[in-house]
Amino acid sequence: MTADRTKFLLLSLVLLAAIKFVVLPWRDQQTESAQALQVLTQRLDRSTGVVLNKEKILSIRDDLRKSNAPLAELFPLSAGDAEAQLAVQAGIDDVLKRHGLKLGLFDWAVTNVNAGDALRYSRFQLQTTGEVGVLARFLADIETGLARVVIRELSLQPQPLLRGPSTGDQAELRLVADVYFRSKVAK
Amino acid sequence: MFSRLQALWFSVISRAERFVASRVVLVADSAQSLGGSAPPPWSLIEIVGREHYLERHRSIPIVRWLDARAVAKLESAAKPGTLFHIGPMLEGNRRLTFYEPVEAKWPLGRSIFRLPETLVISMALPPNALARVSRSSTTFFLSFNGESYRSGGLLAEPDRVAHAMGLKNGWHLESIDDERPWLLRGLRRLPLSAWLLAFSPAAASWLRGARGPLLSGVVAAVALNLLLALGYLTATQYWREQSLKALGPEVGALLDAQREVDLLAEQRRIYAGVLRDRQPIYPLWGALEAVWKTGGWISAVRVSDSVLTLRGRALSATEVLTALTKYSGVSDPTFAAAIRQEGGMQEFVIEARLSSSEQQP
Repeated sequence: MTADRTKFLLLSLVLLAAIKFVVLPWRDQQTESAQALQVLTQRLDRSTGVVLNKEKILSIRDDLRKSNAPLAELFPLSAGDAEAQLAVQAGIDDVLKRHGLKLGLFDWAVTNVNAGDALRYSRFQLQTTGEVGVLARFLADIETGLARVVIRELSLQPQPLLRGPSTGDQAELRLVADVYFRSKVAK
Repeated sequence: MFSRLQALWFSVISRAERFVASRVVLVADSAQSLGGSAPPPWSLIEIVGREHYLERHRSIPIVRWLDARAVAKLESAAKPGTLFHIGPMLEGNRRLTFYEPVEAKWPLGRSIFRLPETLVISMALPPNALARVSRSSTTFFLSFNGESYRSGGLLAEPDRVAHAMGLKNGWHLESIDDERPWLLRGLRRLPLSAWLLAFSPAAASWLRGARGPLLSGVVAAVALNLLLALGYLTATQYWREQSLKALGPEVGALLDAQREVDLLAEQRRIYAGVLRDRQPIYPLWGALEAVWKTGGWISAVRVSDSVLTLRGRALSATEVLTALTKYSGVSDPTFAAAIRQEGGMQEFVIEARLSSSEQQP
């Protein structure tokens, strides 16, 4: 009876040890192998797919390279946010000077926001005062000259009324706009 | 759908109950399954009729169930085949009940569990009940606590039996002529400890004999499963790697090209989105010109999310609105507030949406 019990206990110990040190590690290793195989299978599927569609992929890539180039050129490539901001500030300063306008306020409200992939934007607000016709030309220059600038909000506060295009009436212009640029460090 | 599933479930349960009942055999004056049929060659449970054993009770002050089992085994060893039941602890004692076969050997067939009739029926009895079980060969009395006496001599009347058993006042009699429903009800209420002790020697012996092969089978199955999995994983991995090699060296460059295509497509989507959302402001000046042409003056201009709000004065605000309606640089011009007369002129607030259909000046 005691011998039977000892044998049973020994057998149980051997079984538990085998499960702990052989079966479970083996099973874990197989799970890892299965995951590696899954990755390999996906890689093979992808590779087979690209080989079968070689011509198509290369042709689409070339087309996209060609069509994207002029679009990308609209958004200047900057080393960083500070460089892009400086370029915009300089550009706006030029336009203001060209139209004889004085800057009342310029402030970066938001900077370096990721707009997807390598594209980023910063938001500024600007305030200036001038004759209405001059302000119109200033805005036209901003819109046409700086394609990467997207005007979000604008307000024109006449002092006191705008009575016509050539009456010389003064107005205060407030502008909120986003400046888009491609960042080299964004990738 | 639900009612069909419910019907199917009830049908399965009822079939299972019928199967179990047909595999529970009561061995009394003759053997018969609780389903009413002849006894099968093997059964799940054999219930030994009261006429086949003598019953005795003993109270011992042992708390641990395993110790009580060891004591009961020692005590029952004197009479081979004796069944026993270990009751719960009551007032510091456990009550052991021994069921000793009348004959040298139980008149039983092959089964997995073996239980005495009185133990099973007593589980189904309500508290303070005394049952009188009558069948052609024997009649016996059974109390709710499992104590039983075969009817005869001085103990033929329920009152005397209740008195002899020490039942409290208010006891009541249950006359049982057909014990089968009571047995089925009692089986459901048997505690786990009773089932452990009811494992029949034949089944235990079979299990002891089969333990080795069963264990070996399980070990072999686990090992085979692991080996087959290992073989499959190794072979498949090798085959996949060969297939990958067979595709040639240009695969890497093509994968890069595909990644570039994805990247370029994403860039294109982003650039196009920014340019599409870029609402030009220049139609604003055309709108101001339209107001001025009607003789109106502007007192405030605001553009937000392409919505233009114009505040101003004119001799006729309606004329201003009409002029803006005709101007293609804005769409849906409407009065956003009431028109008010002020010093001979009408004050207005007009809202319109800037549209890019107007040609850039």
